[in-house]
Amino acid sequence: MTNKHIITTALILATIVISVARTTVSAQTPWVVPEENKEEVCPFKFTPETVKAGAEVFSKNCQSCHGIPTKANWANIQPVPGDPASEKFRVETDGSLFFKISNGRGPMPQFKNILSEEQRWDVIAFIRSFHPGYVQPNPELAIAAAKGGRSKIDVKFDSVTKRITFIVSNTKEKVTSPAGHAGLQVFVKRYFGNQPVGTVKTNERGFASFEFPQNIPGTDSGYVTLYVALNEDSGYGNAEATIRLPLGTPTSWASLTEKNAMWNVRAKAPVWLTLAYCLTVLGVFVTLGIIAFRIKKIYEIGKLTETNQQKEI
Amino acid sequence: MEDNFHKIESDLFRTVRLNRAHILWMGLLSVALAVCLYAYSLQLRTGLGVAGIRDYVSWGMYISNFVFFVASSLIGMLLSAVLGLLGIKWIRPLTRIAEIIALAFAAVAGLVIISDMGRPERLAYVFIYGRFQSPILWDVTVVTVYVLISALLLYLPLIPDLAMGTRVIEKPKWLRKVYSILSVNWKGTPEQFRIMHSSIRVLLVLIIPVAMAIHTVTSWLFAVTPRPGWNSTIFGPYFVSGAFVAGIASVVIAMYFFRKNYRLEKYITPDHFDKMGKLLVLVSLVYLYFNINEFIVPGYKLERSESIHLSELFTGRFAGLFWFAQFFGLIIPIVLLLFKKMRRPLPMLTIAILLFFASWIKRFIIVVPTQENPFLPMQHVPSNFLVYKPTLIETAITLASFILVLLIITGLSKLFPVIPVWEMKEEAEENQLK
Repeated sequence: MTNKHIITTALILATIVISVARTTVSAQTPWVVPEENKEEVCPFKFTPETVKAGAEVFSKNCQSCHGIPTKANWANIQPVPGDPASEKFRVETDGSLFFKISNGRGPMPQFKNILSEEQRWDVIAFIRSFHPGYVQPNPELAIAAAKGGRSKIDVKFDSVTKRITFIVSNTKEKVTSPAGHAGLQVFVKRYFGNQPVGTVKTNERGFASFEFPQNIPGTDSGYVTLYVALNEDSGYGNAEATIRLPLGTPTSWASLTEKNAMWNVRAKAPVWLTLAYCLTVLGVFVTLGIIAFRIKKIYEIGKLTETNQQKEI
Repeated sequence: MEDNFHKIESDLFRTVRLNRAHILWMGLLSVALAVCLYAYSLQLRTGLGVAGIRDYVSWGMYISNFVFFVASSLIGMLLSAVLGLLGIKWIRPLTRIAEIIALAFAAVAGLVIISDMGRPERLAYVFIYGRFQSPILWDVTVVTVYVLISALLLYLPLIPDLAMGTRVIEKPKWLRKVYSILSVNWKGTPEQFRIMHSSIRVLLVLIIPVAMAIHTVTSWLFAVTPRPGWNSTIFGPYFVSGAFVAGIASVVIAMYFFRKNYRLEKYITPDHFDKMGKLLVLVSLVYLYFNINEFIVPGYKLERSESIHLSELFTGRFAGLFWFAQFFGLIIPIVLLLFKKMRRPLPMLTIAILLFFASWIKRFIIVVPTQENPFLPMQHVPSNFLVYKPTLIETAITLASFILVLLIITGLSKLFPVIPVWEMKEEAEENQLK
């Protein structure tokens, strides 16, 4: 095969590979954002400060794939990440951008566990700064809720319907009012940290109804310790509540230190190991004892020979 | 015949006396030891922080040295037990030297471990609270047992010589007294010989598994820890075969000095050096085989952490030490000792000294680099945690252990004949009969 042939073959192969790759990409289903998420709006107003904060988050978390906005220098991966300043991004609602950043898909990471809600909105503020003619939709609604004061979460549990109701209230200047549209995060307490089991939002009256998911392991009698925290981004400040409820699947954990095992204390060492150690040590020391006894025998024989010799004399 | 016996006796007991040169040598060693013990007192007062060991490299020079000492002590088993039980005769004049070396290294190995303890007064806790599951407990047990058996194996064949000594030695008086007590009424009756021979035989059989255990358990201290470079199934035989190489180096050095200084040319002959040279090639080849296994298998797979470890050894920070150890500890001795001329006393001594150093460094290479490359990255630690640098105090304490070994070897070899006199007589008798 000549060099020319090799190059031709390589080119043909490359074309096939690329076209196959393209087909796979184009075969990908469109990214559908649920309607209610599409309509979500940012709880605060985009300002030069939020844009600046967003730029910082963007450069650390997004730029490596999406490139610098307006420069069209995104990373060469499939599907194409695209430039956030482009038309493709401009036509999206704030809510759907927020959904896509939060949940990710394919090579786009899920940022809801990496960035806080506020940080994600900051990024959107930054992206929007590249979109001419963009007007933030009714931020007043969110701003009106920006509130201060002290918040409190009450937990009500109906043992018949197994429904949990969180009642969030906010006390400001001695006036207590319901905390509406406040986000709550619900966890189950575990040995090493909290296990998230869901999020919920209060209605205008500060009520949020929560359905506990099934098959969450609890204690051997089925209890779980629920921990609920007010989402800081809601603007009501910090609040949390802890309650022990019989909502988990009864699970009994065999203690790792219950049976005899290599990692256990001496009294619970594996039997074969204890036996092997003790018998070996015993065997060796009995042998050494016998040797000591025989040295004594040598001594006695010597003594006997001595007395015999003396007798002969 | 009687003349010959008398000659052997006077030749071999001539070494048992204190002369000025010897006192000077012991004095020198004692002064050096005192200096090093001062270093230890600093460590005792201030804590292990005076040594270079930190959280990540917590086994530094001390434990490398411990492994080396245990390795060197194994030679007693190889020469007296394995070759002795096989009925190999040429080894007879060397067995006591091998046992003295074994006893000295094994006894001091125990002390070396204590030097690595921050709270040495809690040593007994190892036994009080030790877990049967812990290789540390096995190690302490087996080192103690090995010291005991080595001492017995030194003592039992010494009994006839001790009895002989009470006749031959005129002064000092206290030494005669010691000889007389230790000789336990030895009269040389056939019954006494029978008991002695059978006891020695039992011990020789017993010491083989114990010696294998002492070094295999030492290797398990590493191998049961899942770390790159230690995570190996052949660490036991790898350590044991390496131990024979290191031990032979010690014996050859001792042979040379005893032969020269104690004028034992008639008993330790060039032929002995020749045979030790051949034995060294044999054990080195076995060790080379394990080395190849130890590096080729992880080197072929190049699993991430292993590859970091291997590149540190082969081309990285430890490359100099690593290749020194591999060349002078394996390749060069194997190649050179294939030539008869190289197996003569002086070339053997040179090779043995280099081999001795290389063997020590080999232990360092096994112990330290692994700890500098843990599986999880080292984060948020002071910079002196990242790289191990032995301190002067640590080096002095390590030197102390070598001085102690030298003191024990010189002491024992001055108090007792280094070559079994009665066995030499027996041999002369056998030759006469032929």
